Formats: sequence, structure tokens, C-alpha cells
Amino acid sequence: MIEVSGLTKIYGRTIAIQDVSFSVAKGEILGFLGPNGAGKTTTMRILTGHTPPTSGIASVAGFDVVVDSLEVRRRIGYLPETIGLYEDMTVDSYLLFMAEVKGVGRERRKGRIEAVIEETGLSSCANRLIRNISKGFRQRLGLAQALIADPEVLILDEPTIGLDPAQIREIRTLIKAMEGRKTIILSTHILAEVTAICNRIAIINLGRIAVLGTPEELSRRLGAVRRLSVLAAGDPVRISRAIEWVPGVQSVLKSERLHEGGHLFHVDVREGSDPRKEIVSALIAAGCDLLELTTEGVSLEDVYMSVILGENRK
Amino acid sequence: MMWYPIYKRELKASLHSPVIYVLAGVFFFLMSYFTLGMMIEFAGVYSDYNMRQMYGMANMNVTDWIVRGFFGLMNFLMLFIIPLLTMRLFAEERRNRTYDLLVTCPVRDGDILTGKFLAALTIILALLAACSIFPLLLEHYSSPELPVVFTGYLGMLLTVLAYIAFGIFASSVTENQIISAFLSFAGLLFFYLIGDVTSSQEGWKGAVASALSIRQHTLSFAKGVIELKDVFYFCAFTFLFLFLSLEVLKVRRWRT
Repeated sequence: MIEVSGLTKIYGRTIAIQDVSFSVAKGEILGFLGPNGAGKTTTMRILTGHTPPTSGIASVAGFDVVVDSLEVRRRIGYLPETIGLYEDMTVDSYLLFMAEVKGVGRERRKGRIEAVIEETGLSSCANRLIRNISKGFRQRLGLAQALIADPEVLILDEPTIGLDPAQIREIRTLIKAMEGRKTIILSTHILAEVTAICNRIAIINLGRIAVLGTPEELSRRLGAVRRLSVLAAGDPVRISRAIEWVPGVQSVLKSERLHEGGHLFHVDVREGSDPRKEIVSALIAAGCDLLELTTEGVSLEDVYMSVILGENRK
Repeated sequence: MMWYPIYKRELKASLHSPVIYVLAGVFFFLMSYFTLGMMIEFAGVYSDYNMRQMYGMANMNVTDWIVRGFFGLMNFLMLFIIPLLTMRLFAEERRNRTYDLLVTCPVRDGDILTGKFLAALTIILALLAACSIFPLLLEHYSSPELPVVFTGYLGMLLTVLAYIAFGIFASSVTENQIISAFLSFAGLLFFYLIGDVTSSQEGWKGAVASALSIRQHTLSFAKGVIELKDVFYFCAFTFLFLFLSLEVLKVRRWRT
């Protein structure tokens, strides 16, 4: 549905994105994850026809974003990061305007407006002036205008920014419910959001795609380490030395927090090895008491941090 | 027809803003004050035979005294009204970021431009139409030369097309409405006054200044004559600045 290859955008002397390539299949939800200024918004703007690329090719539903910009724009709904709304219009007249501009047929307009107002929970403020509605409603209105023409593709730049936790959950549910029906690209810097909504994740940093894959793939590819937590009673130096000697253990870190009955250690394990049994025997041999042994797994946050930090250090 | 929703929204937005009512109020006040002033002065001079002799105007008439003055005044006021009306057209949308969304909708830049141009034109035409009360009043009490009234209005229409095109161009180059208004006012004033240096300049300089001058091109209309070169001048002026606005919109796409 969306094909991007070798996309580069240069503003004056700043390289916003460089050689970005990816593709999104129909019905898939792709999440862009990355720090501010990484190039997420630029990539999205190119896909929406807002900004042309300096070089490279991007196409939506088989139409090139530069050559067939109008055809692309007919097929997308876009929620910009900071949405500009006509403050002196009411919510429903604004949606009517957007429906007209997006070429929704006269006979379908009323139905579509009612549908998106319902979907995004705007019915309580449909007749109010946009200037008077709250931030949460503005964000929902942004989403409503993106959905108004029932587009095949949705490009959502930070869809949950500025919302309270309950609203965030509603919007996420709404987006998740469109999985399979619409092709969606969304950007965020909230890790929990991508894991909750997206089928695939692209971590973007310094204008390039650093990693791209399903959440599991990312953990596997970068998560060379698995993490165990060990709660043991006894001399902490002795415990950590005993665990460190076990083959397959990469590092041991003592938690600074106090724990009932003992000390907590975070143990990173090399890929492919499972030294849990050996750790138990080693602790017994060292004369320490093992209270708890649990697997933590690697969180996406660890993957993200290792990618971002690793790259920025270079 | 994709320009139509944009035209409609723009017109509504203009009518919701207080600016338009202040502009219209001031415009009508000045128009009535000076037009009625001209009428009263004319009546005073006309009725006094001695004064007419003194002024050397034995055969003074309504057309010369009032109709031409009326159109001259209207043209002059438009130099102020139009920049204040067109300043927000693009500058405001860009500043409020509504433009970001508009360019990702399936409408051409040309549609956006057309919608905005026609919306501004509609408002100005309404103002001009409302001012036709003065020629009607004159027609009721006297007998102005109707062809002059007709060509005067035609000249006025062509002039406002050119002014609006220029104002839109000024609005497309900046995000700041004040700068936009100032640019279009200064630019229009330049084209308005440039012909007045003709008398002091000889040769090609004077000819160029006169060819560029807005005022020089309205003189024939004020005499009841439609000259093709004048019509061409205003059409070319309008198309040039609409074309430049379209180019600015395109270039801005590449930069933002």
C-alpha cells in the first residue's frame, strides 16, 4: 500500500531524513518511534503530499506522491502534529467544510459527518465554536477530519499528544479497531503506545531508520541479552561474585533499593544460554540463600535506548 | 468546482470577522461625506451665475464635477480597503497552520487561490454596488452622462481585480498580516503614483512610468471611453500577480 525507497529531504544545510526506505502492507499499522527531530514528521509530510522530497521515491496505493499528488491526497487522511483549525467555525461546520474539500459526495456528507462525530466522541460539542473546545476535543476533531472521507490510508502524527490517560486509551482503541481495514502510519515517542497498537515498528533516529520489524523481532535482534532478577540473602559481594562466575552470565547489577529478606540483583544473560540452574547451584555452593529467581525479559524500552544511545555515540 | 468550498468558507470567515464591518463603515462614511460634499459644492456654484463667471466655468456639468470625483475617490479609498481585506487571506492560514492541512487535501493550489480571490472580489463588489446609490441619487436630481457612469464602473471593476490580485500576492509571501497589508499598500501606491512623475520626466522614462501607472489607465474610463490598452493593462496586472502568487505557493511547498 505504501512504498518508500531512498527518501531524502534536505532543508538548506540540514538533512532531515536520509535514504529512508520501508513499505507498509494493506491493513497494517506501522509505528514510527524516535526522539524529537529524528525525521518522523518530515517522512509523514512527504507521504501526505505536504512537502516534496529532495530525492527518492514514495508512493501510496501505487500513486507517486510527487507526480500523482492529487490522487495520493484523495486516499489519505492526515493528522498533523500541531493541528491548525479554523477557530471561528463550529465543529460540525468545520467537518462539513473538510468533507467538501476532500470531495465527499453531497449525498454522503451528512452520514459521514455523523459517523465520525460518533466514532471520535465529539457529539457533546458538535455545535460549539472550535475556539471554545478543550485540547482533548481539538485532538479528536483532528482525528475526525482525517477520517471524514473514509480514506484507505491514515497518517497520524502523534495522535495521543496532549490527551489525558482515559482519552489516550479511547483513541488507541479507536485506532486499533481500524486494523485490517485501513493502512495506518503513526508516530509517537511513547513506547507503550507502539507496542499496544502497531504490528510493526520503525525506530527512526538522526534521519534514518535504525531498526524495522515486529516488536518481537526487535527484541530478538537487538535484545541479545535477557534479564533475570535474583533475590538472595547473604553477603552481597559474595552473592554477586558467585553469580558472575556462572558461564552465560554477562553482567550483574545490584539494585540499590532495599528488599525484604535480601538483596536484589539484575542479571543480564548472553543470547542462547539459560544459566538459571547453574545460578541456583552456585548460590547454594557459596552458602547464600536464594529467595526468588524470575525472568524479566527485555523491554522495548531497552531496545529503543540501546539503538538511540548507540547511534548518538557514534 | 473544487474552489467553491474554499470560496464559501473564506466568505463566511470574512463576514464573521469585525474587520469587514469596520472597513465597510469607514468606507461608506468617507464616500458619503465627500460625494455629498461635492454635490453641495456643485449646487452652490451652479446656482450662482456670478461665481460661475468668476471660476470661468460657464458650462460646468454634473459629470465633470461629481461623477469623475466620485470614481476617483472610490479608486483612492480602495488603495486602503483592499490591502486590509486581502492581508489575512494566506498569511492567517499559514500562521494558524490551517494551511498545512489544506495542502494535504485533494485541492490544487489554483483552486485555493481562485476561492480566495473570488471571496475578496465578492465583498468588494458588494461595497461598490452599495455605492451606486450616489449615481442613482444624481440621476434622480440631475442628468449625468450615463456612458461615463457605466465606463466608470467598468474601470472600477478592472481596478479592484488588479488591487485584489496584488493584495493576495502580498499575503502569500508572508505569515504576518501587518507586513502583508503594508506591502500591498506600498506596492499599490507605487503603481498608483508612478504616472504623476510623467510630466517631469522626458523620453522613455516618462513613457514607462506612464505605461505602468494605474491612474493613467483610468483616465479614459473617466471620460466615457473604453480603450483596449487600458483593459489589457488591468487584465495583465491581475494575471501577473495571480500567477506570481501561485508560484510563491509552489515554492513555499518546497521550502516548508
